[in-house]
Amino acid sequence: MSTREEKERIELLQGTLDLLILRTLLLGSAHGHAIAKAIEFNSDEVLQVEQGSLYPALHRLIKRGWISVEDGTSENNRRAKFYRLTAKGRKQLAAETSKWEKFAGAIARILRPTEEHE
Amino acid sequence: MKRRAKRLLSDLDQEIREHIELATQENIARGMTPEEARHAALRKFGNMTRAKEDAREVWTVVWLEQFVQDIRFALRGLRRTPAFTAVAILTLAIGIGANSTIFSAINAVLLRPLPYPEQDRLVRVSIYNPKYPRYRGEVSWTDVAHWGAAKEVFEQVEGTSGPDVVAMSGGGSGERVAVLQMNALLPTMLGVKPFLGSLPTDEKHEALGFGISYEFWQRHFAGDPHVLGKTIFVDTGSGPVMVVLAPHFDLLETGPPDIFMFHGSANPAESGIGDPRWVMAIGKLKRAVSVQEAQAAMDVVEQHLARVFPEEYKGMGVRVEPLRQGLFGWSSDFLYLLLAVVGFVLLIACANVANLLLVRADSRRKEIGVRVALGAGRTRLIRQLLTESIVLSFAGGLSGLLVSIWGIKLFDLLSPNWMPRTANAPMDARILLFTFGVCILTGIVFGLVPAFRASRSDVNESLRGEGRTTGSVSRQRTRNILVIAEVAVALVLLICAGLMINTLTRVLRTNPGFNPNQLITAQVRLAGDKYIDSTDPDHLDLNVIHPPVELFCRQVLERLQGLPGVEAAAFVDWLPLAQDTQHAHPGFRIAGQAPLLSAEAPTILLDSISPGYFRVMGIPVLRGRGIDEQDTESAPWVVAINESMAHQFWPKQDPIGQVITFDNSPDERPRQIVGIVKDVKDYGLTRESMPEAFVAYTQLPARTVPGWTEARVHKSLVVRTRFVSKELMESVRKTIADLAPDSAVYGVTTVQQTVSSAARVWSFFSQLLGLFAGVALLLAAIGVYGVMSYSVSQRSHEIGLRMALGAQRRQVLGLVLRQAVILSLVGVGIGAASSFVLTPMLSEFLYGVKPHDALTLTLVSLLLIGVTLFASYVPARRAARIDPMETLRHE
Repeated sequence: MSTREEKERIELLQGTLDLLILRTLLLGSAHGHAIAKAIEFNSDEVLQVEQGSLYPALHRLIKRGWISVEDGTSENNRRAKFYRLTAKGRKQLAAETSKWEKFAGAIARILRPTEEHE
Repeated sequence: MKRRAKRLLSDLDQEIREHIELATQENIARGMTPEEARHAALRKFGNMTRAKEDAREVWTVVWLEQFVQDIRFALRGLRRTPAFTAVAILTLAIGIGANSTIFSAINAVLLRPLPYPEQDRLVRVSIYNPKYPRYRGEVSWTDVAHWGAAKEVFEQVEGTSGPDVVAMSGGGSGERVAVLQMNALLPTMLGVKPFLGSLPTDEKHEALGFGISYEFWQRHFAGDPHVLGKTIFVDTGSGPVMVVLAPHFDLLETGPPDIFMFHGSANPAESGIGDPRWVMAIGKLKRAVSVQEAQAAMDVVEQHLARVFPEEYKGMGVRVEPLRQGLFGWSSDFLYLLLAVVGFVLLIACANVANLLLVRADSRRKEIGVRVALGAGRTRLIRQLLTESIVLSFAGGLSGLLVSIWGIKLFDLLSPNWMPRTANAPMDARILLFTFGVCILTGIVFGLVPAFRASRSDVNESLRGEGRTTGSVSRQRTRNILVIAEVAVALVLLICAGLMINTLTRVLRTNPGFNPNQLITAQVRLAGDKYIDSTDPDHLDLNVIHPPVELFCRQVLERLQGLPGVEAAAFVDWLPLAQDTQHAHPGFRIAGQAPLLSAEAPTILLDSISPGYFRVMGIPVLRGRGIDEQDTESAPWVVAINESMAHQFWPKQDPIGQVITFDNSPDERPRQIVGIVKDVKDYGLTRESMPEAFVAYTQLPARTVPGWTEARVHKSLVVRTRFVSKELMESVRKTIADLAPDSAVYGVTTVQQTVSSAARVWSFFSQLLGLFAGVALLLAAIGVYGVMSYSVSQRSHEIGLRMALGAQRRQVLGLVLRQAVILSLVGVGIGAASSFVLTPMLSEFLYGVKPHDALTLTLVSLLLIGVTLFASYVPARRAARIDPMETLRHE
């Protein structure tokens, strides 16, 4: 426990959760808990997802038609919802990713103008 | 909501449970105990309720759903605390009701469309002196005709004058009727239809006949279907009833007139210079012509007229404005002032309710704490609390509308009779919209601060505190600020009311120039062929006054002398300060001086009197002599003048002995000035006296110009009595009525009453401002009481400790009262400072008192501080009675 708390954790920026969910689902459909875990694991536990906020985000993406939902069974053999990226979502992910990269690059250039080689 | 969304949401619970379950299992696998594992999973998941609500929000028009929810919640909460709810709603009902009332008046007088089809094409055309551009001057029949010729912008321009109150005779007794003169085409232009008969068509500028209003037809003729063709006698002429106009034709909105006297239009070529200006011109614009275009065209017309008729039109402006504004624009100043005043009252009401809400929020801290702990977001909480205050303000607004129904009746009752009637105007969408807006604004104003404060409450603190709420310092500070604001606003209103009442007493104390005590007055309007002949075929422009007028006066005076209780009696054409006076105001020529152009000829008031008038009225004769018995028809004609006339026309000479000749009749004779009397107030208590001349009623020309016939056959009787009584008034009335059975006898009252009526406009302002300031004072007192009570109850523990440590009851009393005095002193200071900026707006309504009147300021400040002290005395006493033992036992 204590080691985890010591790690510097970053709250997600507004709107980035959607992007991360889409990216995670690119690897295949998954249920809620798995998505949350994947985001944390893949970010080396730096990104802090308040897991509760995952579900409203999933609903938002469904409404926009970027992901779809289907019934399935969880590891516990219980009924669970699996989320899957739609074609529209895939396009959206590509667009959002390039936007994000431009954004992150720009921020980095401003913050460290002399250390570009690093 | 779509089916898919519904399913998703209903499955969400299960989905979350599964999520927690999986997380718990993982945690156990990492080596935690099952309990630890579950806790960690829950913590990591965060606010579960919030997650569900947020997911729901994705799919719904959330605000609407929550709004309905909030309203239900608010209603439930308000029902739980009936006392709070009742006080809050009552306070708001008064505040909003006052605003709706005044707005209803504004709506009735200034905003609602006139009841004529195509009312947006109707305009008033008036003249003004560029030195006083706000004043709307009346015009002459000639002006009306000149302007009507501007066919490029006007379809037509018609005139109307009056209403004149004259006598109608026939049928045994006289009656006073209000006669509106107008061009025959005016009703048709306005779109008013005849109810019976038909309107005369326009020919020449002479009387075409009579119309009567529907209301008069009902009242006087009991709706007789055969009324057409019946002859009406009014003093200026007689003729058949030609038309009954449609109901509710009330151009000036001061109550429908009784009789319409129709004229053809003037021929500008015929009617000459010196046509008196007492007519109101109403025009109808051509289609697609705007008011601005008409104004521009009239500016050109005016320039042309000024070249052709320089005497009549030089140096004058012509204004074209929408009819409603033209008719009633003069009242906007004071109506909007009243709206500002009630706005202040509402502010105080808001402060009171905000205070109540703060107290209530304190008692609800635990509830709010629980809700925050359960995951209510801050904005959500504020929205909910605001909804509650808006529900409150709407309840207050609904009750306020009821208050305003009653309020507008009161307003109408108090208002002077030249104010347009406001009570008949129906409640319309504009009033509802205004009230709706006021409700929303009010709800936000009084709800915002308490809502913010409440939502900022610390969860831990409010959940831990068991009953003993300490009430944080900042909370008390908010309350104090509210009280200070209330006191400040109340002070401003009190100062306004104080200034107005001060004005009223000064107006009432103004010396009218005569002694009104013990005087009875009666008005008589002689009517019928016996007194006036208006049908002389040789002289249509002159009316002949018959000797019975003089005879009647003599007989009345003789008979009155015999009445017990009467000391002396006299006649004058018009009693000073009486309403609806129509003095003759002729021009005159001074013997030995070159005659002036008629436009520049001096005009004065002229009154004929019976000998003894000055003595009966108590008007001092300063020099020379008054009018007396020796001034008979055959004796040399004389005139007495007042001081103003003497100063104005003979500033360096002695006027006595000078000879002047009036120009109102070919039969006038030169008159020598025999005396100078003191000025009296004729047209108003606050107006400067006008130059005035008095002649004997026995020395009058037989023929007179029709416009001034009125002054000849109207007589005001003044009777000095030993003791004023109802019986005496009745016998005076009967004496006159017996001698002139066909004429109208009215206005039998005391002269003192007439003087007070002349101050009616100030009593109207004083009553309204006094009423609103009183309400403000009461609300502020309630506010102070509420805050002090609450502060005492919050400090009861502290006070108990102080007393246990030896503080005396008197010291405790002082402690609380000192707090109240400090609050009210700060409030009074702020109020006084703001009054320096605000009260000058009142100055045009004040008389004899400056807007920054130190005495008024001091008195109302003391009053306000006294009232706040009184309001805090009760809670202070309660504090002094706290039992220290009780406090100690609680420790």
